[in-house]
Amino acid sequence: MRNIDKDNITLEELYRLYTKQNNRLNIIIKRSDKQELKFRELNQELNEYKNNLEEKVKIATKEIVELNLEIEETQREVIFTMGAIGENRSKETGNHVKRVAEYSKLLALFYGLDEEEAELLRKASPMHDIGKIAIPDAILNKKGQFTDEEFELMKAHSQIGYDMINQSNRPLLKTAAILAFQHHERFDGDGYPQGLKGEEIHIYGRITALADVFDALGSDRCYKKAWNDNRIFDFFKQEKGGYFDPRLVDIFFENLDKFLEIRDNMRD
Amino acid sequence: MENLLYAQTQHTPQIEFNEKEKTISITGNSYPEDSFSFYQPIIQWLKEFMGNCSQNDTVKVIIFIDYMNSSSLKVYFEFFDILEEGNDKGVKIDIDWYYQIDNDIAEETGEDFALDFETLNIKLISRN
Ligand SMILES: [Fe+2]
Ligand SMILES: [Fe+2]
Repeated sequence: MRNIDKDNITLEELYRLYTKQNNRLNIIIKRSDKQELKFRELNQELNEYKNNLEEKVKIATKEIVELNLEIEETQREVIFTMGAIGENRSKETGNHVKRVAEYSKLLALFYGLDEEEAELLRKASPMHDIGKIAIPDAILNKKGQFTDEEFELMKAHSQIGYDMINQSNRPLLKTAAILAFQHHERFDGDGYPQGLKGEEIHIYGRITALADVFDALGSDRCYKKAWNDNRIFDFFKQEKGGYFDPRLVDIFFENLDKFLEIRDNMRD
Repeated sequence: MENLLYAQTQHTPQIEFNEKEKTISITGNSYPEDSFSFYQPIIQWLKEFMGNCSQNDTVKVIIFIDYMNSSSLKVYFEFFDILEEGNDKGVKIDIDWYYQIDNDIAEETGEDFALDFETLNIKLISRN
């Protein structure tokens, strides 16, 4: 800007300078407003984009959750169907596997396993006899005593079931593999296939053994009639530390009403 | 007289003033925290340089500023005032005002300068 010599400047010149500076100021203000407007528009666009993104993430998350539920549901169905194949062929009812699953969860919780593990056990339980798929009908449904040879074949269902399921790394199937393998082990070491003793048998195996036998004794089977409760209870007392983990037998009797309630609610 | 060189920063443009070649170029953004003190030595250099120029000299000015804040804009009026003084005394001054094709604010700013300094030779050039 030119220096203004106050003494010599005319009013006209001063007015011209004033107008010039005022015009420039207007240009600056006008441009500043434009930039502000642009900034606001961009900001708004950004916010809309952000909201949109949040909405999209929400939808995607919901879809993933639903998909996961569906996968879990499918998994459960497959497990029950697989279990049912084994059980049905041996004329056991669908409710048998469901009751055993519920007893197992209850035993697990009273034994001190956490809810997550107990639930895992409940879900895996229906697969414990999956190995029976490989056992011929003639043996599965035989009325009367097995020959030694037949019994050896029957016993193979533990190993077969284990080999079938143990391929997977999923916790559920890993659990199921343990059940399939160990549900005929006895606490005193006289069970099969490995003859494991006491706590060598995984807690899942000990639980399933008790739950499975409790339910089997109370049901009609091709080879026997259902036992009455007193006979079952006597058997359990007798097999405390024999067939069954003594701690689990105690738990069973201490909470007998809850086990009977499950049985009543899920009758065949 | 020393040439004037400033490297570009996030807030300030690259400045390349060459006395012998008589070229002046400013490229980048201009929103320094304190525009007046940032541009003070630049304006000073330009004043001195213009004072040394004589009638037959040709000066090439290139300005390519994407974004400038309001105080920078005020400084550039002063900048053009100095160029106009040189132009008035017969120095030939060519000014190229560059702007990105979609940057209408930079384009309009160039137009505003061309309108305000009608005797100056300001050419508006768009770039992709
Ligand atoms: Fe079995
Ligand atoms: Fe069973």
